[in-house]
Amino acid sequence: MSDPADLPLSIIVTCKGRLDHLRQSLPRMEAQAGCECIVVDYDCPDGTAAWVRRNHPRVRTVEVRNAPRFQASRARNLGARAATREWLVFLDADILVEQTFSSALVGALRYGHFLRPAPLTRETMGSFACHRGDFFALDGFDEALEGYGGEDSDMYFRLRHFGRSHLTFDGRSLRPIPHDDRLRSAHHENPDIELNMLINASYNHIKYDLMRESGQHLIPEETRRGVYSEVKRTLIDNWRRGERSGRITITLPIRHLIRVPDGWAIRRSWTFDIEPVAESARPAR
Amino acid sequence: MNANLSLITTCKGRLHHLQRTLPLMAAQANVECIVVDYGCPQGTADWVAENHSLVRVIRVDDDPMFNQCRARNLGAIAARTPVFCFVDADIMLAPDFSSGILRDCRDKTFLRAQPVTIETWGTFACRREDFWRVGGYDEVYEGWGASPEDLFLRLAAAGCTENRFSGKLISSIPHGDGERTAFYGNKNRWWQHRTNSLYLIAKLDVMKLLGTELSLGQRKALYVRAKQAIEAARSAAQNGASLEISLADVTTRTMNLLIQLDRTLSYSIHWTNPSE
Repeated sequence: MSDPADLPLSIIVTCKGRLDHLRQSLPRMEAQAGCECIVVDYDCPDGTAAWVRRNHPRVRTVEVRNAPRFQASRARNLGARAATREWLVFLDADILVEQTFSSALVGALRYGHFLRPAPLTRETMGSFACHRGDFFALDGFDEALEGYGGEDSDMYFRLRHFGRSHLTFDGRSLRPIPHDDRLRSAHHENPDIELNMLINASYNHIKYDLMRESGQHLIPEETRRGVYSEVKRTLIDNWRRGERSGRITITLPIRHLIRVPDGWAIRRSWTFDIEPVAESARPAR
Repeated sequence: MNANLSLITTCKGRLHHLQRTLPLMAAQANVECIVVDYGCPQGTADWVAENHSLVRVIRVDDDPMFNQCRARNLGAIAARTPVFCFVDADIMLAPDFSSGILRDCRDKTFLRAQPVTIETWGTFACRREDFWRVGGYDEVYEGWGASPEDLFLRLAAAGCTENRFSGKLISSIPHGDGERTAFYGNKNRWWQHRTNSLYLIAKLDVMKLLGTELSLGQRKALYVRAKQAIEAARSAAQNGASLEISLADVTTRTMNLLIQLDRTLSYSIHWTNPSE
């Protein structure tokens, strides 16, 4: 039964090998008055779910077993499905929230918007809040994505494509725990963060073209997984040969209702030439 | 006269059809009739003025060929009612045609005949604001084929739903292909249809990927390329043609710092019988 003091916020945090961080961050999340907290133990080797139950019995846990690779999109989606509040707040296990976090966030909530911290850092890129209606209308995070990077920026793009604009909340209420990149890729099939970000960015942008073409907010899962697999295979093969670029060709159906005689065949395909942009050539954010 | 529906018809060398069909249009309830005389050599405008004084006439005298899209747009510009219905000069209307259209042509809806035939393919109705919201017909099309679909697809992309009116409300006067293509540069309508189909598919993709309408200059340039591809196949007696469009990265770079993504859009069209 809901308490009048409840805030409409479900804080969702995932963990695989980050219990050391969670020991520091979860007490601060739980201390946010009136918030629901959910920890997704994604087959964590540190025994996160048991630790949470022992030490934070009010925090809800979702446990995933037999998942040797960390899949951030799936983990977050499972947390979202367990949430009972109207607004979903996604935080990483290495984010320490200040006492004012939830009250500042609640003050900034507006229907038709999602919220991201400002100022933004690399470490707080994945922290955001959105209405569960928008989140589930888009089927949540894209589970075709693998490894490190891209699932958060993809979510923001698709929310905007869905007609939601972004507002900000005080980013100073989030304080990341410093750590090196090895932790980021520890439970991923592909430990090379640069390569994985290249794969995920390329897949995402090809997917956006398919969304533009179809006029739909959702591309069928089978199509997404097929495109991801092709992008991943191509770029990894090229990477092993020392090449950084790649070419992907996708055949599209002809769904236009053009009246053509029997014996005609119309085909179309799109070829994407992927070229990484050197860090020195990237414009300043 | 309290008209709620504009019946727009065009004529170039079809006065003998119009003499049979216009009385049926003019007799409809709650309509204004507009005839676009697109340089008709049979003096359509004068005949209409003499015989159907309530019918409005638009005279076009600057084009030796027939551009049906432009002719229909000019008719639409002159129209004063909230619902447009485009009817070819060889289409005969049942007495209750206009009441059926007015009943079913709601906001964000466009109507086509069901069942539809090749002769009634271009007969359709939509709301004035929807027609102009998508810019009306694309006047880049030459000759016969694909321009109706172009408009239907753009209306659908703008959120309009395709609904049907009973095909029993219309019938067509039979005639040969010679009349259909009399004022077109390309006398074989199927060859023209290939160019138009290739252009249509490519244009819609480019529009969607760029997220914008294409300018008249961009559309003309694309049409020329589709036309050249089909003409080359025709000259070489080939049964297929292809078209490639390179799109430099304009969408990815605005939102992504990691990659540049250049696109090449490829289209091919094949046919088994060159005369069809």
